[in-house]
Amino acid sequence: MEVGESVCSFKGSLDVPRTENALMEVPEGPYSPRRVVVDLRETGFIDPIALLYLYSILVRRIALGHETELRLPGSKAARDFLRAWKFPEALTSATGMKFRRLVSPADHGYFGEEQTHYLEGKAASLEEFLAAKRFFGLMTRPIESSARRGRLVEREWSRWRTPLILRVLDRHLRGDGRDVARVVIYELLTNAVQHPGAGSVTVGSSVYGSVSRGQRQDRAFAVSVWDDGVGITDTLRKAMGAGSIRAGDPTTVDRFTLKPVGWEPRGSVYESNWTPDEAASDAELLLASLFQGISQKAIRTDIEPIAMPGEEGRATQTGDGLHALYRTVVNDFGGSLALRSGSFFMNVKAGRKGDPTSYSVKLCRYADWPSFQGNMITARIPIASGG
Amino acid sequence: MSAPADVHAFWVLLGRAASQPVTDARKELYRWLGKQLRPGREVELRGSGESKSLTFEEVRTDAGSAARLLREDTQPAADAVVIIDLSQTAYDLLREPFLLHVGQAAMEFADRPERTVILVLPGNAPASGSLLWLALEGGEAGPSGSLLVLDRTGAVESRGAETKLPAHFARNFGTRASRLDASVQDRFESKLLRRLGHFDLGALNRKAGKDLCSHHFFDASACIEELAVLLDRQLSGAISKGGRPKWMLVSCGSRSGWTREAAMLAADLAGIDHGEWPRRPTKNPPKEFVGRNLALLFDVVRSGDSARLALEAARRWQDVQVKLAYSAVGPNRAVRDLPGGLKLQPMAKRSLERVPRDRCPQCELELPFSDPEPGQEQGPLRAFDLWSMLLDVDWLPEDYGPRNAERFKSSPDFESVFKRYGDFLAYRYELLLNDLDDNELVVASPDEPAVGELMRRLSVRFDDRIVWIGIPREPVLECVREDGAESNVKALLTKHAEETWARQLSNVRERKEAVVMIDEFNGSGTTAQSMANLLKGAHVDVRGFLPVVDRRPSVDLGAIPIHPLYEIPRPRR
Repeated sequence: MEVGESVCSFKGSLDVPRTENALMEVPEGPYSPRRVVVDLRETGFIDPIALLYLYSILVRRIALGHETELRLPGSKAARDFLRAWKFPEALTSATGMKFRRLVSPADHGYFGEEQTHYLEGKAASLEEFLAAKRFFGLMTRPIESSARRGRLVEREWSRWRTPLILRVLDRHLRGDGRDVARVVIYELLTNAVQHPGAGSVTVGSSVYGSVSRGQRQDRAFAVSVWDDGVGITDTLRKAMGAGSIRAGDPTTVDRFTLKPVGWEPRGSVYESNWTPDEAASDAELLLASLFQGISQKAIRTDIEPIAMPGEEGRATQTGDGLHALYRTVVNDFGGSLALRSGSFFMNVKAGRKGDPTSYSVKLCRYADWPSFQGNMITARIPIASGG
Repeated sequence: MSAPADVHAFWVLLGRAASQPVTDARKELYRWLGKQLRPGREVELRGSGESKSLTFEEVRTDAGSAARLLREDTQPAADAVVIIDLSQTAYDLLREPFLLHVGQAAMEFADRPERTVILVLPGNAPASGSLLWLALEGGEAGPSGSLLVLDRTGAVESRGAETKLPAHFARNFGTRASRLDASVQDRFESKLLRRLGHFDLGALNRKAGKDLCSHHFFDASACIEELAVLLDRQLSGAISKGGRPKWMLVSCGSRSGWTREAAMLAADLAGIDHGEWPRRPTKNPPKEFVGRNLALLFDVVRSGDSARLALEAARRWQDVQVKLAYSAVGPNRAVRDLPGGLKLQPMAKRSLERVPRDRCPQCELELPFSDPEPGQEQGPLRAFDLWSMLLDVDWLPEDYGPRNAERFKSSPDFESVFKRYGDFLAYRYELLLNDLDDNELVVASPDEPAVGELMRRLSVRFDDRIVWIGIPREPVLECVREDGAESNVKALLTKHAEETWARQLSNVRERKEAVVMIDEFNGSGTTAQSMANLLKGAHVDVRGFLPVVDRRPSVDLGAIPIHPLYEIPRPRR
């Protein structure tokens, strides 16, 4: 290790806590001007949200001109994962830096390596075809103008309506494949483009899996959306200063059983008809952002301090978007919804079996950690067995 | 005799910036529904007779606008049958918060004991997690009237008071509703694009000792799903379930990515494997073909030469049987003498010309070859293409046009041009419009048969998400230069306020959407100027004027840019 250099080593599965722990090893945090080596050599499995997280940090470091080197995973599945998510192309597109320049020369064998695909049987050829057409992967789009926001939502949504992807989704997901475009993509993007100060949105998607002892495991379809706008909790706190953030009552009361990490909730179960008050913690605000009827735009006329993008800030919203999203992802697809914003990580999955209003939420607060830039929401949907 | 029962219908269309008139066939379906639910009574259709339309942006930014649109109408009678018809909107456009609001509005309508509300959904109903079902739970008591949710197959969910439905109601509804849709075959044929250009028919023909050109090139990339469904029907009819593991559908025609996509999808639908025909002739078959029965899919078969070459090669392979042959597009006459007595089954039949290079008029004119990849055309139409279209139809004396301007003694019958070449012109308009505008497409033009035909083709190309405001010639002509003052236009709009076109303009203005003007001809510029005056007076923003042929009259349209498909710089006198 050179003087003034930090090495962040990622071992085993690359998930958000491990990513953050590794980055915490860097004195002065991940955006430190010292040279940082991001070492993924011992990473076997990469969680999409962790990858997008790492991506956001690398983009920022490169933008700041801080020297950074990437050691690629030793595992073929993990390297395939980087390719499947178009990680190299996305980094180049966001930073203008060729991926090869970022990668340690010792790992240049990666370039030209053949990709393995993870769906089986007849669907493998469909997946391969979609991969060849660069259907999956990371894509960053600017959204400064109202027209661009609308265009981004409609174009991305349209991509997910084409016959081949619908066939793959229908065949491999528990729910109706058309609901990926109609609800998952639509609500993820509609949410992201409305965050104050958001100048760009990155969408990532992939079918991924890890290979362990010859068995394919953890096969899932994931789609992640990261915006670089004001964090959800800050936005809600500011909107709350102007009045209530409750725009309407929920049509049904959902129950969220909490697993808190790094903070003290006022109870172990929260119901979606609860409205946060001034005394609510940021963690509670983040949880409440999911509740039906909670919206930064409940008050239509006086949220001036926040620079809202275009006219949307004035439109009537009733805070149904994220509610629809978690219901579809968890109830209909049997998946989970993860949210990263500020100092928080939150993951929502099904709660009591057979109860569609019961959810289990892990909500972690990383107090000593620099705030995550923007908001990232990931829908993770398992691939049905035998698919 | 009892009084007629009211049927109050809301036809909700998403992805459109202005209302559209409800078609007679749809009104008939609404009347039929009314009679089923109010047996023995006459029914009277209420409602505005026009759609309730919302743009993609409105649904995205303000999902509650849907419910407001329904509530702003005249309230239905206490015992009315209320129909909220979402069936003509693509399922994927139904954002969940939108469905929640529509569901809540439906519950409000249903909260009268004598009333029946019918919510008609497109395709199959949404999954159990949908907010629609939450809205329809509506508390413990439920609505005091009755509420039925129908999908397009007629499957019924009911809420509130019990409704006695006639026998076979669901099946009969499904049958009647499906009559409003075009068949898969019709959809395929109308979306199939025949591009005009100068196309080199390629390597396979050269191998057969022929250098051939064509003026046409087919592209089915907009109708992959329809092609796959048609193929699946053929395959499922020809192959027994038990025999499927032995079968493979092989796409031939590497130049067109759509052939491969359609074949992959069709194979998946039919439950058989998919393969690719080798790019170069091979002595031995690809290993995945061995031991298989093959069904081949060609993109376009003109004379059958390329199919013959492929089939002859396959006959020399060991342990491979080609048993079926299809083409997306084939000639009007049967292709004969295919090896092994195979019959080629085209999914669409077309007149397919090809010409040896030494007799090709485009080669003689030294016109460069066109790119077979769609979307590459830039600039105006090629003169060869425009004139071949215009010279393929009758020329007739012009029977309508601006006042005080010379009529052409002979002018191409544009309605026939649009009937024969509307797919290509719509495609070229799509390229133009993609550069011009990303919002919902609203086209304003004189309401004339020729432009109406062009709009029909544009609508197919734009997946039915286009609104045409056809303005009758009379009000257009009332806005010629000297009469185009804003106050005159205002009076004109007031006079025609109840007409569909005036309400559509009002919709567009309220939404701050823009329109494009389209006409077949810009001769003297009078119609364009009158249209511009009318739209300006109606405070509607015009993004551009896009005539098919612009004779470049000296006309001032203010800030409205003119983007013609073709220019002939010789204005009408």
